[in-house]
Amino acid sequence: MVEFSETFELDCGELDQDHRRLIEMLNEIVAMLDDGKTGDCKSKVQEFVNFSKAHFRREERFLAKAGYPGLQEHCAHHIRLNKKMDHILEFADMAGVNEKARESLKKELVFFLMDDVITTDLDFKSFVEDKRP
Amino acid sequence: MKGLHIFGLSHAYGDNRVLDSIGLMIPAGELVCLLGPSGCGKSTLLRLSAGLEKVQQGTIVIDGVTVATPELHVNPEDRHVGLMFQDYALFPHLSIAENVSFGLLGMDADKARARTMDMLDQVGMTKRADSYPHMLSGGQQQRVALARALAPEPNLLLLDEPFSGLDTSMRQTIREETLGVLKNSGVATLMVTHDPEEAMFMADRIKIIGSNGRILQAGRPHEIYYHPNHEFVARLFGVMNRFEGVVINGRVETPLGPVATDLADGVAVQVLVRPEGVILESGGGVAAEIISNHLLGHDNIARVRIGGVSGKELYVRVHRTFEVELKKSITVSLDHEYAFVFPIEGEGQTRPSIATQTAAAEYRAEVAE
Repeated sequence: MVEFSETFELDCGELDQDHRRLIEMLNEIVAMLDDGKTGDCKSKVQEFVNFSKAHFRREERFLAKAGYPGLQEHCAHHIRLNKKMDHILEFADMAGVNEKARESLKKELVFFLMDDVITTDLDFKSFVEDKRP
Repeated sequence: MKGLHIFGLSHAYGDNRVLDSIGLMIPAGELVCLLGPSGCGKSTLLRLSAGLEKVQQGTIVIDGVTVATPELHVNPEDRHVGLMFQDYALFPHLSIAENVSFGLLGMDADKARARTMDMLDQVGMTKRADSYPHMLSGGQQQRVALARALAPEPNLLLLDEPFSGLDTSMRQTIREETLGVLKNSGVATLMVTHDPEEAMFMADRIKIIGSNGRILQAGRPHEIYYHPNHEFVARLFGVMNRFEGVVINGRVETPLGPVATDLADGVAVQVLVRPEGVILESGGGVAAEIISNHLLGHDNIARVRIGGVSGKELYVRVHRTFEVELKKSITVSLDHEYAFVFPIEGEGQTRPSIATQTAAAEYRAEVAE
């Protein structure tokens, strides 16, 4: 069970809300996997991926508007995450029949969200703070 | 959240910046390897996490508690971190049991004794409890060091090149045993190594640090090996064959045939191919001449030349019986899974890679039609 911590906060209302929602979805997926509800889990994972992509678009718009100098690099990072999301969906496909896929799915989701998304987003926290009037 | 969380971490020694905006998250029970060349700052990251150095920029959080910022420094002994160094650093004047119980000062004596024996049991060293470090082999000392690091039930375990002092045959066994003990303990573990094979074996996730002190790629071992997003990452795993070219219609021509890429047309690129990506055949590919062959036991590494006497030399890995003398003619072809396309830029370039398997597969399908 992952809980949203104040150390994850960017102090950007909309983006923090997205991160909270993604953590909720992650916890729901893990609970489904632990309960053996792999069928429900597959559509939830798809929802998680869709929401992640929408979040990236919102974030890119926000950073472009704020004039973030690392925008291009951050966008490139988002593009690279597409491949990870493809793998996550493949694991979700196999989760019903393969215990190893269930384990890998949980692991990948946690690292994807907590390391690749939330931790990387903290790179622009100080920029946003400095821009605040 | 249980585990280690680092963000925005930068560090310099004088003018020499060794870490640049490092972010890292290790949930409890997972093992993350920092892989990079000597001097890339990975041991500095370990020392900052342990509290052996003060943070200049960034934040370190362990089990939800902030332990280090430029304004805050929680002492090492108050971070509940286990440390294991490459030389094991056992106390020579203490017995094995005393070494393991060293971190249990303050615990009830009976409980400490029970915990010590439990840890020694987990690493298979119960019978050597009364021995002294100098009486043990390197592998046994490594096991004791692991037991000592885990005995106080740390929130975080930090391993600095833990297997580098072991010989090859012992290393495999000890790695496997260590991984079992760590998974059983449920502790978040950060391990640094310069050995790619070791990182691949041990890690749930590998983070590659480049010589510029930045994270170049993070992912599962499979992802790092088969989808490197950076030339530096691709080259970490050994010698590569290299071709240069220009992207035309989403492909780069090489002497072994075209390779698909999603880089823009007109971009100057290099195609890196792992030795296992060059397939030796007896017909059907490009004619080649064998220059040398070395049997390494589990495979061969051969050098071949294509395009005549002044042609291009390639490294080839052969995973089967292979004797040059018994071959009449040789041809080589390309396995696209091991071919990666990068723009030709400086070492610090961070553009994404690009010959994805998907693109290559699409291209192969297109060619087949």
